[in-house]
Amino acid sequence: MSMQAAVAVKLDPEAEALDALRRKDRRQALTVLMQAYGDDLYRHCRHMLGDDDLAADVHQTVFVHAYRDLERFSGRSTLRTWLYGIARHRCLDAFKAKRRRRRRFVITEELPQLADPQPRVDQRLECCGGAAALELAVQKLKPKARIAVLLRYHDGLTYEEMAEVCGERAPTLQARVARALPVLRRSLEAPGDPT
Amino acid sequence: MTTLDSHDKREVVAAIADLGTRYQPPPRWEARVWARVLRSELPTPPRTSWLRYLVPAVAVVVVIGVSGVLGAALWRTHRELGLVQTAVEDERDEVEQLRRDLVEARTEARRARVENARLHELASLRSLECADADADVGVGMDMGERPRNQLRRKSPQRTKLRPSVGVGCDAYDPLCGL
Repeated sequence: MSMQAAVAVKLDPEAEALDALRRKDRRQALTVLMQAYGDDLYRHCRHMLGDDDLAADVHQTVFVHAYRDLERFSGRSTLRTWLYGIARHRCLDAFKAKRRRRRRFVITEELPQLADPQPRVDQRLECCGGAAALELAVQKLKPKARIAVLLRYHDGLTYEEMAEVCGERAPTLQARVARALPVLRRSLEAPGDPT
Repeated sequence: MTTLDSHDKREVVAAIADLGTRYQPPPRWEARVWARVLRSELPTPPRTSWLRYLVPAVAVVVVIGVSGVLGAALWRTHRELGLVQTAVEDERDEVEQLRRDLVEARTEARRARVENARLHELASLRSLECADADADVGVGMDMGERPRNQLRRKSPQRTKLRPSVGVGCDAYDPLCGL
């Protein structure tokens, strides 16, 4: 193997992780995957869940489950897509858990109206150039639409890769994204607090 | 930085793509993942099996069953012993009753004998009185006044002395006892 080929293998995390898997070295494979996709997956979880602590927990869980199931990775998709599939399932689990918590614990007393410690929307728009408002609008989307929009435009997956991640047909996902974008636009155009 | 002034689709898409740069994973998150991985690889205690509860339950049922069977057998034996005891006591009472009846019968018989003897004695005394009063009347016995031809026909050995009964008078003597 020439020097250039070695460097190319070194730079391609997919190939490096698969090579480690062939050597039955799960630890090396997971290390490569964490270095390559850790940050992107965390942002994906953060935008999906809208909560830092919950996103950190789900993010770690994704890699723990990946380590557990790496030996069963069949290679039908890329490792990146496979990791996003795990993240999607864990995020949906977190949604369900949150719904269950809300159903189980009913607030009986009216809580006092407290001011939101975070800056107001207009302030966010001013300081961050609308990113915060867009984030809030994304949070208002339904989970399936949110996943589709984030996978497509935030994580840059193709519709075919999204179909592998979500287990749905690519045209279905394309239509879902197309329906979500006008909703986002309306949320951003709406006057007042978008939340 | 992408602005959202026009709210065009392209700009929205670009803004979504820019969202990614705002968040970073917490520091040392990889170490936390490895810690969780190592923790998951630790040998876990065996899960509580339903056999763990089944065995004591079966043991309790067996103990209760054996106790019940033994108790029933003991109760039945006790009851049968009680029945035997009752039968023995009944028989003993019956024997006692029979003994008392026997004693009473003996006493009664003795009393009857005594009475009989007294009557005999009284009869004897009356017979003596009759003999004194009339010499013609036999005392206590007679030869039986039968026709001579009958006496003749019978052998002397067959001629018996007939003891007098009742008051000791001869039945053939109409004057006896007067």
